[in-house]
Amino acid sequence: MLCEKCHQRQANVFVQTSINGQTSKMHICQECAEQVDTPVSFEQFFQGMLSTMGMAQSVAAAKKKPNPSECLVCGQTYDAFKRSGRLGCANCYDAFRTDLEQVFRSIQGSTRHEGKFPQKVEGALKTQRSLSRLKLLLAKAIEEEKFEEAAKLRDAIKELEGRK
Amino acid sequence: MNKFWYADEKVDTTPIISSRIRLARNLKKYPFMCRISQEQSTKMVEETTERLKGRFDLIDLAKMSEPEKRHLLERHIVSPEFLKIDMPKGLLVQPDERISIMLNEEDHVRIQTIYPGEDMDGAWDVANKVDDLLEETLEYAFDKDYGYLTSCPTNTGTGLRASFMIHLPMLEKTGHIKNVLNTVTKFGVTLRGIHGEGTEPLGHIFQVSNQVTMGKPETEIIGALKNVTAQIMQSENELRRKFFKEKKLDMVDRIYRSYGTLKHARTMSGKEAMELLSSVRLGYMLKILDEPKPNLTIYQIMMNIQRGSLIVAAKKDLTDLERDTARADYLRGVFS
Repeated sequence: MLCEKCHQRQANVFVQTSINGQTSKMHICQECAEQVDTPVSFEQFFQGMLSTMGMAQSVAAAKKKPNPSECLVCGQTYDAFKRSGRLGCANCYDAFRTDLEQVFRSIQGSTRHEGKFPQKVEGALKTQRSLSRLKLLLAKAIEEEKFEEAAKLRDAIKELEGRK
Repeated sequence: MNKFWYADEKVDTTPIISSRIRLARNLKKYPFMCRISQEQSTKMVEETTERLKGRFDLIDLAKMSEPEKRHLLERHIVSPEFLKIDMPKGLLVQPDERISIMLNEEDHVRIQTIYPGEDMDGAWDVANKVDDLLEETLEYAFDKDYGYLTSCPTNTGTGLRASFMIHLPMLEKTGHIKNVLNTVTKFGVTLRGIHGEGTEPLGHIFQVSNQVTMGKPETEIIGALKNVTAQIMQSENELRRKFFKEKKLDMVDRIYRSYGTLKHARTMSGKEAMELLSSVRLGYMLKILDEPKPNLTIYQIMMNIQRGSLIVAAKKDLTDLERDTARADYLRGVFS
């Protein structure tokens, strides 16, 4: 099958996007996939790639029918994990979250990371926390009819949201 | 350039030979080791290597012979598991061999720093910086609750393994090492053979490392390991003092016999050489052995008499007997 975008190269990536309930499917080549400008999440992209290999179910199906015994991104089963002790991808941590809590409790004595964060994640988390705090303050200011303060808070929120 | 870590005299100063940090990281966009394909591995390795080019020497494993690869293992640049993996992989090393990065080991990225002697803070500081550098351009698999996501849940969280390589001849000879082993596990610390998991201790050299990687910040994990290691070192030193006081002649005799054999033997197995070098290391440290010290550190000599190293130096394959002869020749040269 030829790429539905450039109509030149062989299609080897399947992209499925779902925006406001509108689902579109496309078979494209690697080169075009890298330039794809639709807001495709990594999970969707990866799911699409896997589905062309006949390995994965669609994202929509995954959402409807969560299967805790198998990771829908990489196909690693919980049984295989129990046998090998190896997780198949980052998403396995979400897929098996409930069971993993137990695993961590027994081998790590904890279920929470207390060490360093990647700077990017740390930045995003801080923004998130500041936003929630500012929104609370804004609601309070409005309630107390402190409109001048509320205006300042609203500007600060806008600025932070712009940065996200 | 810095000296090779194993050439630094700090390697021979205390029972602690080296301080090593290993950080396990994975990239978000690729499946982990057990699910990654050949093509994805190649892409992952190329992409990561691209970010580090210029700062590290790139080692092409595909062009290396088996003994050359083994030589890397003997220098602790790679893990035994890394060599076994039959997938595209990458290796980046700094010229002084203090920093190395394995790509596509059990995790996509394994950052390793080794510093001479007791310097875990130094090793951590550098590993942390390399990690920050990589993170500027690569997106790690990270979860705000679980931390850095790894192939195996025993590394999840900080992905940190801090290990001291430590020489414990008296604890091992007296059998007290078993008690140490039982005690340290209660503090979340493990004691293993020289090349890590599943290997036999040779030359009475062990690795002391943290077991748990989650629930504590990196500095706390390192702090706890330092405390336990200090205790182990104290027990070893106490035994050394005790034996020196009570069985001085035995000890001095054994050390001088070891030295004599190293200086004169015509063939020697690797196991025997490690045993004798261990004894000589103790002799120099306790100032029992009053003979000129070789230009190399004892640990460096220990590395140079390993199989891979001897074959690489001889530039040809060696039979068992040829190897034992080459080893004895080398040792006579070093100690004469």
